[in-house]
Amino acid sequence: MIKQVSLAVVAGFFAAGAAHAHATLEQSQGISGKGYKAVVRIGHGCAGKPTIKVRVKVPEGLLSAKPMPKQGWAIEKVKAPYEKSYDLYGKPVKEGVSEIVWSGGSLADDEYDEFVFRGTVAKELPLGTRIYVPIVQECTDGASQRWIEIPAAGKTSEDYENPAPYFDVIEQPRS
Amino acid sequence: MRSKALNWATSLLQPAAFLLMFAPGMLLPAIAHAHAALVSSSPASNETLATPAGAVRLQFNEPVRVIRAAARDAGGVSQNLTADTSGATVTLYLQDPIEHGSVIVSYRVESEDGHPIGGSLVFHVGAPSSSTTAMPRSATSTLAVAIWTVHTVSILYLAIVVGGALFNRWLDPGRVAPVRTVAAVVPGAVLLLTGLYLQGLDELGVGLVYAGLEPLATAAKGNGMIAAVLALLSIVSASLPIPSNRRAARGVAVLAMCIASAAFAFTGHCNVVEPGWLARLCIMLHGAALMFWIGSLLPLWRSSKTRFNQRPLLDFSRAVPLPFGLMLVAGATLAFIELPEISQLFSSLYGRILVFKVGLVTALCVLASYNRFYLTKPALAGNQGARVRLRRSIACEMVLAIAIVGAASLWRFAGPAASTVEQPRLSVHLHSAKVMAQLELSPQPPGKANARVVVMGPDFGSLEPRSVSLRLMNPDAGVEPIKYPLAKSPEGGWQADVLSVSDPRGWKVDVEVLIDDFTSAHLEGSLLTQ
Repeated sequence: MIKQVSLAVVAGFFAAGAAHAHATLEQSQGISGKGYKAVVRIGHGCAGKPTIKVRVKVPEGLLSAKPMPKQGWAIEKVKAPYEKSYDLYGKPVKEGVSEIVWSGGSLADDEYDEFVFRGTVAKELPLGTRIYVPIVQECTDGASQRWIEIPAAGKTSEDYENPAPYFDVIEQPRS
Repeated sequence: MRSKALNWATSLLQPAAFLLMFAPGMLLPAIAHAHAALVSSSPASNETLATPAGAVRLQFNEPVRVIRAAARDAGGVSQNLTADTSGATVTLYLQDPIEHGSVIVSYRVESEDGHPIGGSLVFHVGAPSSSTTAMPRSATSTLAVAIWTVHTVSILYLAIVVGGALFNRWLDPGRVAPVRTVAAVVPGAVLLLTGLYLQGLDELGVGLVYAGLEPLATAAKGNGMIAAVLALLSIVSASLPIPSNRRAARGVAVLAMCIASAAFAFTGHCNVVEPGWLARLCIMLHGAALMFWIGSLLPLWRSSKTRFNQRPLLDFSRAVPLPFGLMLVAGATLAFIELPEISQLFSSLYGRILVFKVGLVTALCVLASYNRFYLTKPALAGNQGARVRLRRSIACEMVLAIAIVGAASLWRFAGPAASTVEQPRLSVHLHSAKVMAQLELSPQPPGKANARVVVMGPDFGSLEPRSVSLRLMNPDAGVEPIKYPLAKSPEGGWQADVLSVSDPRGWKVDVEVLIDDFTSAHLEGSLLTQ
């Protein structure tokens, strides 16, 4: 019995490990009104080609986004107005970083890497909202891989070939 | 032997272990999507091969496990494929390589995290098929012979029982025939059931073997079942004990005839040609007249044995021009509808069978006129020689009747000429909150269709998508999505050559529009929108 259970646990960790194959986010939940550290995990290139650029669309409602510098990669921050004004620690914010681009590096198809940024989850977002973070991987020879599919009503990300990674807005756990 | 308690414990252990296996997966990583994607294949997508392929190699981007794989030929006959997996490379073997036409290989694979993904590969052997579903099925020859024999015998039997009943009760009511309900119904039921079974075998594509009850279940889904039930019903009503009232007896015979001719309308090619109502009406009239004529031959032949009671012959020779003419007109109309171009008369199998059948019918007309205009009168007048000749001539007519029904049964294996099943262009409107699209599929012989998509913003505003792709799938028939990237067309819109879908039933479309770098939309719909 113990052997069976422990085997199942080990298998479970492997199942979790295997899930890193595509562009995903490490944290599945972001606390309303608090910072969210987005760890974008890139599991492979575009049909065998190495990744040379990673573009992340900062979702509406993730405020004052800041990328974490990454050795070997140049960072570009695209600023744009938000759809509406948000309250950030008592101050209204109307614009911010809407897209982050890491470029200049090269990530081979058989290598794994993480691209990190943080932002603040706007209080205005209703609890339980699923926030999708579309990601575009650009590779050599003009190839690309877009993790941008947002499920239509009645569907889940599982129904799509290239789903956008996401996290859910949750209430601050009481301690 | 295990104790019950232990069994109970183990039965609980499995779900518990299952839960444990996935619980860490749910807690630790955020989203667990690992989707295998097809990188390349051999034969390549849309490749035309000179010789049939015995194996198909699929190269994925990561190791996969094959859940199922099937190949579907142009006739819609599907075979399951055996798979040999080595890491990310899958080799699928066709037990029975498809000799000619377009092949759809559908696969469903699972990558290491257990997420299944389906796709289809289309390639062609020789040349693309002119259609994907309306081609005649390639029945194995023994099965084809069995189907043909049973079909021919069934029609003749139906004609003898139902047409014969009408003759006896209408034209020869004086004759006292013994009532043999069971003796008439049982062979009929056996014939019809055998016919259905063979039909089911053909649809399953397994050849002439015993396959349990599955073929019957398959056949029961089609029109063949309705036709068989109607035919059996007509045989039963025609062979029930005859009511003493002559008018009632006649009424029952007419009713049986109507039911039997309705059975004809549920089978055959009259269901695929336009206008459908005319084709069905013609086949009903044609069938009714044919049954009356063939059913009359046996009693006529019998009554011409003796010189007594020539009344039926007299009545028959008076009555027969109307149904006979009706049969010819209805038959000619059907041929005209199903074969629009005279040039196809010799080029298609359908046309050649038609020519053969018309030849037989001409011989029959000559014989019938000879009977009607030269033999009937002297035979009725008591001329011994004329009566014997008439008897011989009726026997010849019977042989011709069998040949004609046999020839018509061959049509089972030859659809109407290709141009009649040519599909009109299909037009589908698709929309979501962000984007709308108009998809048009126009057949482009040989065997391809041109897909054209015009993308619009909501409220018909203009929209310049980054890219557009189209997926065609038929989930009910086991056809996984066939993906086509569309190219921007100079005339506006997006287009590609795709598989020609002749029977839109069950086919679904998914138009994927890349609106900008980070936004895409899927527009889904059915090809058959009614």
